[in-house]
Amino acid sequence: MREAAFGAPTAESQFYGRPDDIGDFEEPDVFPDNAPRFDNTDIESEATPHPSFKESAQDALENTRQTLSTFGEKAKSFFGGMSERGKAVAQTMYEGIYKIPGVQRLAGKMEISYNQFFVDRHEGKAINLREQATSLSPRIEAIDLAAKETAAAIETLRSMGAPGLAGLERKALDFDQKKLDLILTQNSLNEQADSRVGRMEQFKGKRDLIADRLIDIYGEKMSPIEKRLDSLGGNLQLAETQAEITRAEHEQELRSLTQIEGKRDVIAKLLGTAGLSERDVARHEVIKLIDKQIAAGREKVRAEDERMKQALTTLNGRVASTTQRVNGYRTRQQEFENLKRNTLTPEQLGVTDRPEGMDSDDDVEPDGIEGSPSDSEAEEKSVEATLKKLRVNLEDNRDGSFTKEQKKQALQDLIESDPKILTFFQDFFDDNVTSEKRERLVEALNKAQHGLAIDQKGFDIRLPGPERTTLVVGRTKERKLATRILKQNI
Amino acid sequence: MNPDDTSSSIDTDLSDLLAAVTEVNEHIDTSNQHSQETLQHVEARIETATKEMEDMFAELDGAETEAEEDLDTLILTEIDSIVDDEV
Repeated sequence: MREAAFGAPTAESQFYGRPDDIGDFEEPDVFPDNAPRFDNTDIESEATPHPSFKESAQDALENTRQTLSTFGEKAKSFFGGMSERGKAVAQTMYEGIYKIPGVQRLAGKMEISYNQFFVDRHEGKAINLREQATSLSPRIEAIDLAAKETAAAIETLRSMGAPGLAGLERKALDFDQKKLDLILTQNSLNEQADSRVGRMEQFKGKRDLIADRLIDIYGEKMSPIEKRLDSLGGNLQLAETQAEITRAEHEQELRSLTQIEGKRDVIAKLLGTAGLSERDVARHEVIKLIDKQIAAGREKVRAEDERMKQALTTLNGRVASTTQRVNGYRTRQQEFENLKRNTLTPEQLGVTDRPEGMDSDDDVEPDGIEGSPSDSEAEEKSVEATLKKLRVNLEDNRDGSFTKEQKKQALQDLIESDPKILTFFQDFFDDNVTSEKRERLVEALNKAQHGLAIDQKGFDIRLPGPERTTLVVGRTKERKLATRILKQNI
Repeated sequence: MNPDDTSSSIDTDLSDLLAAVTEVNEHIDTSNQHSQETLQHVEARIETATKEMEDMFAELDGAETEAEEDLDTLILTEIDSIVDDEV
């Protein structure tokens, strides 16, 4: 898999934040865009400033303690041996990870390892080294030319029998030495750049190995787990069916007991008419036996119904908790597979054009993927205008005056009111816009709503997370990427 | 009708009723027994399946724990290495 060309912000780097914003590690506070996405973070926290700006030293210490609590012994020990700056960077990278429930934390850490930060740091360094190496070429050529000219002059003067060529010969040797030194320096710089790329590949290789190993294990283990889960469902169904049959039989039996009880009352009246007192009737041996049997039958039905109810509750709970656990593994398996898929390059994702105003000094387009104007610009402007309303509705109320439900409703209303939104996310729906799919889009946008905004760069979706991670979405192909990310946020 | 005949008829009716209620109770016992046997059978199968699944979960948990440890170490090592280079 090819990584993006050096220096060019890839779709991934936009997604995970701009590594260039990270700075040179002097201050960890300048890293906010680089933190990983954690989908289960409360989106309301997005409206608050970055914690680093307000954290007291005690908070930071507590944060470190909490982060360390998520490490195993090996990682804990390694962390202890890191430099202060290394710890600060690690702390920023792991910001908020401890807030993620244990079972999902691994997915969060996997996301950290897929953060474009790592690749970009190596790529940035490699670019610098290559540029330094390349910048030596004109000097080498100039010295080479000077050396050749000097050699030619010496040759000419020698043929003319001119004396005192030793100085020129020393000069020629100096040129050769300088050229050699520069070539060696250039080679060294290129080797360092190669080493950087090698280290980057090594990191990616190790990271992918961990992800692949897990994906393989999931692939191997989940199939028998799914089979047993199906079997659990089948057995539960059998138990419920049996309970229904028993309950139906019980109803029939209770009706029979009631009928018998009615006949017993009629006979008791006849006995009364025949001269027996109520007391004597109640003490009649057979009637006593009948009454006892009726009461015993009803009690047996009640007790068995209660027992079945408890058994079904227990079985349902057991199957539900097992299903929930399986769902956790399913989710993580899917997340790891998505992460691996997300490492596709812009070309592989089909993202070849760039939104206007995005380019910066550092954002050099690699050859062959230069931006081109979109044919549907006018339509998009119209969509932008509509989406601006959303910004007013949602972003201007960051003080919390809108509840989540109100925000969701505002989003729902907006989408319902403007079919262009649906057109904009056409890729989200594949072909047919069904009400169910529209609901899903609302749900996905709702999750990202706090970061939905329009500016001169295009259409931004800030995805849920403890930090602001921004995907700049401009034209058609990048919209596809946004759609895919939204789908992952459902 | 002779009072003795009436009494005899009532006795017969009561005996029939007693036989009927006894029969209903036997039905209840039979259906309860069948219900209990089926539910116990299902409970046993669910117990076995969930125990087997617990073993599989334990293997997955072990793999996840190992992966988490490997990831943390990889991430920290890489950060340390990058920071060292920046100095």
